[in-house]
Amino acid sequence: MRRLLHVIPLALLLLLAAVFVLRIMDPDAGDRALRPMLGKQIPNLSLPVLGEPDKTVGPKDFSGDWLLVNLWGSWCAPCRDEHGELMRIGTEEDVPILGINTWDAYEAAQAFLRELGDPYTLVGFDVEGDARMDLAVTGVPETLLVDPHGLVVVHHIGPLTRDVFEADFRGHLQ
Amino acid sequence: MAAEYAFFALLVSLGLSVLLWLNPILESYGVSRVSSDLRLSVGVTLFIAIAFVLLCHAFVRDDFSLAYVAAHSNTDLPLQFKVSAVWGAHEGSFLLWCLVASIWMLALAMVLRNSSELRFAVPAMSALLTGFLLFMLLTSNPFERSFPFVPTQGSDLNPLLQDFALIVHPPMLYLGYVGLAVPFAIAVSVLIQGDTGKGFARVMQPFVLAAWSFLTLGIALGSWWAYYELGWGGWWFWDPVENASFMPWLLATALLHSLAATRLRGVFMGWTLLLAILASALSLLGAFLVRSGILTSVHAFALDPERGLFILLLLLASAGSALALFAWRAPRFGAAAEFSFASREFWLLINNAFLMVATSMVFLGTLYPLLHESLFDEKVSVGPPYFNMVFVPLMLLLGMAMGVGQWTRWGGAKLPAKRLLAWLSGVSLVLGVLLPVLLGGGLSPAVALSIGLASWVCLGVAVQAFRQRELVRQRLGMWIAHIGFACTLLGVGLTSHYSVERDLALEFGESAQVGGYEFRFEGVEQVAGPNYLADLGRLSVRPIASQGDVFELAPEKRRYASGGQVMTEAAIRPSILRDVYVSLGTEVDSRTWSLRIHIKPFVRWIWLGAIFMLIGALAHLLLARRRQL
Repeated sequence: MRRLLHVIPLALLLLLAAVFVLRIMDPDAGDRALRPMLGKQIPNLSLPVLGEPDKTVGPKDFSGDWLLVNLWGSWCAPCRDEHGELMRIGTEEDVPILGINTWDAYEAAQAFLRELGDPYTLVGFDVEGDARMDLAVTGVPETLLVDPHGLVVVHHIGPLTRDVFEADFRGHLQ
Repeated sequence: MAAEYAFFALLVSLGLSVLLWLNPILESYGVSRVSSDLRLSVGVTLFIAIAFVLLCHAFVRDDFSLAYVAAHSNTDLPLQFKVSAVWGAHEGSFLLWCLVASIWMLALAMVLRNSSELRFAVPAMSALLTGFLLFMLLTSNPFERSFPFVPTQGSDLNPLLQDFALIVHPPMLYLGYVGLAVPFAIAVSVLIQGDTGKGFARVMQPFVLAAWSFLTLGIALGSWWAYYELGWGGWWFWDPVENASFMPWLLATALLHSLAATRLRGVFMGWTLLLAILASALSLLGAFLVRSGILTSVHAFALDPERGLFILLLLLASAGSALALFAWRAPRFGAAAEFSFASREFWLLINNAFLMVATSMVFLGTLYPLLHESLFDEKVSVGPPYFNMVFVPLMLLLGMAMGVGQWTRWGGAKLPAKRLLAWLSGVSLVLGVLLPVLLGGGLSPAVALSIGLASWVCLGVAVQAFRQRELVRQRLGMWIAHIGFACTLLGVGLTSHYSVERDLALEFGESAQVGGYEFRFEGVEQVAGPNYLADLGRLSVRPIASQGDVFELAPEKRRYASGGQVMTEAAIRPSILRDVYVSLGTEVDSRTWSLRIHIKPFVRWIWLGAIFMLIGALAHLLLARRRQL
């Protein structure tokens, strides 16, 4: 009995190690950690609309439709890079785009859209960073595809390009 | 060439540390040892230090041909941050980790000299260090070149880390974490050699005290930093990585107490050895959690399964073999001791039980999401409500037990001064109920409990210090540390309950009243720092009750030139009774900004308590040591 008691710590360590090994060996683990929203309901946000501060907008306003949610900031160079593709989607594709401007200043965001054009159906201004917390993004740009029931089906990290759009988004939208 | 010399120096130190643990093995085959433990330890430390200095040099000289330097520094970075960038990310911080490990090993070798009593301790430590060095050289070499494309400008050190407290926070934590490897190595040596009596405890104690002090300081600095830098006024978040540093601290605290019993009375020997092994295993587990990316946390380094697997193997090899040794050898250690419930032994056991349960609860809360996801393929998160619910009652119980335990004597058969204890508990109870009402804060169980328990502990210490002046050498450290615990308890209780927090949007020239102060928003201007641009808000603050003067607060919002990251610098008016805390939100329109205002009574007491605990440990280290010589 006394001997058995002394084996318990070792047994616990081995158990713990087994769980860890399973986790590390799981190829999707890192991916899931980075994209925790995938397969989940998109949270109900309510953000002031850029340019119309007395109105609010959130992904739920679009339910019943497919929706692209794009997080961006005016200072972010990759956001600038992907803007052309967003402009194309805005004119050529039949899907609304909800922009979420985060980590940003109100006027800088407006200037950015004046300079490069505005592909967004509406832009929500993420004042306190609540939206990026709720959506669990790690940075900008990131783009989510939400299905008509509000489930997040694609979570793309980094700039959106034509190739990425064709490979990861197109299939869902048909 | 410097980087290549540095890499070579690391190879030499690896070779020397292998020799260190090969020595006793060779000896058992009759081969004479290559050199003494002490000399080899000096060599290991020296060569790691050379590599470390060369890395610092590369940062100061902006040598962007090193991939690590290019990724974490740039020419605009102020000098002190160039140096601290050395340990600002994974590779360099692990070099610091190895350096610290070698210094602790050297200290152990100097203490032990040629003593045969613990002759496997230094080799055990060097085996661990060999693992660390291999990990660094194989998976995380900070001296990797970025040839053929050498950038002319680096990227940047994460602006969150460009701050004094965060320059000091990691080295202190590492000194604590790795310091716990020393008791581990001593425990392994004791287990290999068999029951050598309680002598080991005398060697182990100063190392535990020192490592515990560093850990206390490191954790307190981290918490203080989070409070003033993250801009939302919190000081503890139960983040997985905070927990990873807190668990070894809790176990080291338990170890400190059981070690006292082992050293002076020769009891709890097996338990002390187990705690020494577990404390070190938990600090390795912390390293694993942070560096493998297995948990998502603000502290996580880049995700890398290969590194994770390596540390896991290291953890398994070290803790696994030590625990196997424990399972095999420890049953022979020490006979069952007998003591009454009025003895100090009994109350130390109570302390250990509470701390062990607290550690297990934090452990479960931290790792449960992992376990749940592996089993059910579904994500859950365990948040502060769980931790507060299980942890706070345990600490309150610990406080109650502390008030009794500090009165007991070794081997005592009955509680001394029972009447006095009854009086003290009565007075504390009355204080706990009356003080909040008198101060006009209103009564709540949490406040009454924290004031009551803090006075229970402090009054006990005060009366004891007066009645048992002759014990000052042995007890001063304990008294100070226990007062520190009471301060922290009081700070946590009062801050959590009395804090006022408001989010406001104010126009220039507009005023608002929050928690007895009037805040007038004077305006926002643009200022430039060495590597950032900032919006600097100005507020003048007037206490409404108005004995105090008007003062100004200037919270900042900084945007760093490279990377464009935005950082909030809260403006704080600190004082012993309350902090006034303002952080700048975002610009609503050209004349209106959102602001977050906190009034946080007694928040300083949380860290003040940590400082007292630290002083207590140092006092004990100095006074109690001298007594033995």
